[in-house]
Amino acid sequence: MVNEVNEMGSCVRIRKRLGAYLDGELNDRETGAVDTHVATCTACRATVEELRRLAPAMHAVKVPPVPLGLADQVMERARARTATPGRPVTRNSLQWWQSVSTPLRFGACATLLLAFLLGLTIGRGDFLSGNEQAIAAGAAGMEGFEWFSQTPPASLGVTYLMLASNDMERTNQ
Amino acid sequence: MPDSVDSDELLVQATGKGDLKSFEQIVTRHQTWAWKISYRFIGNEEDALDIVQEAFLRLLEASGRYRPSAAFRTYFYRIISRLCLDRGKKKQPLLLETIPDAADPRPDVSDAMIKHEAVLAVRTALGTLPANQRMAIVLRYYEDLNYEEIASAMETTPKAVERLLARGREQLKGIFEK
Repeated sequence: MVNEVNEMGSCVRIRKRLGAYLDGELNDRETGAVDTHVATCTACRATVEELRRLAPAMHAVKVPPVPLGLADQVMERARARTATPGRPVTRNSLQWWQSVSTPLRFGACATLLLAFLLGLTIGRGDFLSGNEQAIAAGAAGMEGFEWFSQTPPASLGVTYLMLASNDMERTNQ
Repeated sequence: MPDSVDSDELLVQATGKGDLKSFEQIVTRHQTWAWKISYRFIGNEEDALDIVQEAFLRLLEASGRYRPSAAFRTYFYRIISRLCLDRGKKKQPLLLETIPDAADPRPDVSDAMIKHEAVLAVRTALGTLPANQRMAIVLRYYEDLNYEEIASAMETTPKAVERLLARGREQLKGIFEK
């Protein structure tokens, strides 16, 4: 009984890989394991045979010849897309930018530069007073807690507020 | 200008610089296999023709970005696969067109397999497969690509290709059970 169960489990695993086995995609160890199993398992051997018959069946399906004038049609469409002689045929990520007129390009660059400088000026002031702002933000946060608090004594909220207050006092000193 | 013995990679690079003569050589060289993949995948001439044309035009547009580190075939397989899969997701193929099926001359092919009914059964079974399984089967059986190459064409992993092929084959071998 145990052997039968093992055999079935082994069959399920092996069957999943029979296609790769026939395609020569398994390594030597895996191929050896499948060879050994197939030699003793009638059902898996039958599956291998079925899979082998697939290839000739697939190749019996023929394809009609290439439609006449296919290449000409492709070339006609290609020429239509690249109507300007000598122009690169490829579309690249900067193509939209190249199609923008020169004054517009200058305008866009100037706006970006202005925005950058403005941001730098504002940000510089903030950066210099960063420490003070952090303290103010901490205090605002505390007030926020108090606003919410109907905190019961000895609760986690009260403990947190006490710790935060101590931190702030140390920072101010 | 590149001559007729130039590699595909050189021709694509020349195309990227605007040389349509090089592009024409690529089209002439590769139209047959591009047609076969598309037809086998989609199953009707009109759609297959559309896919092939679109694939070459996409190649034309992408040629400027092409780097010869990737083999041309790998690159073009990817374009065709993507187009086929997009089309395949939108509509199920009609693999029932009347095409004269020549008998396979190989002696190991059993007579039953070359009968018209069997061919029809294969076409129908192929047509019922989900698009990605069908693409993996087409690239494996008709293009003879290995799992690594199929994975590259379909932009997935060899392990995923193995699973797709296993599921596809499971369904296809049902034709022998009827």
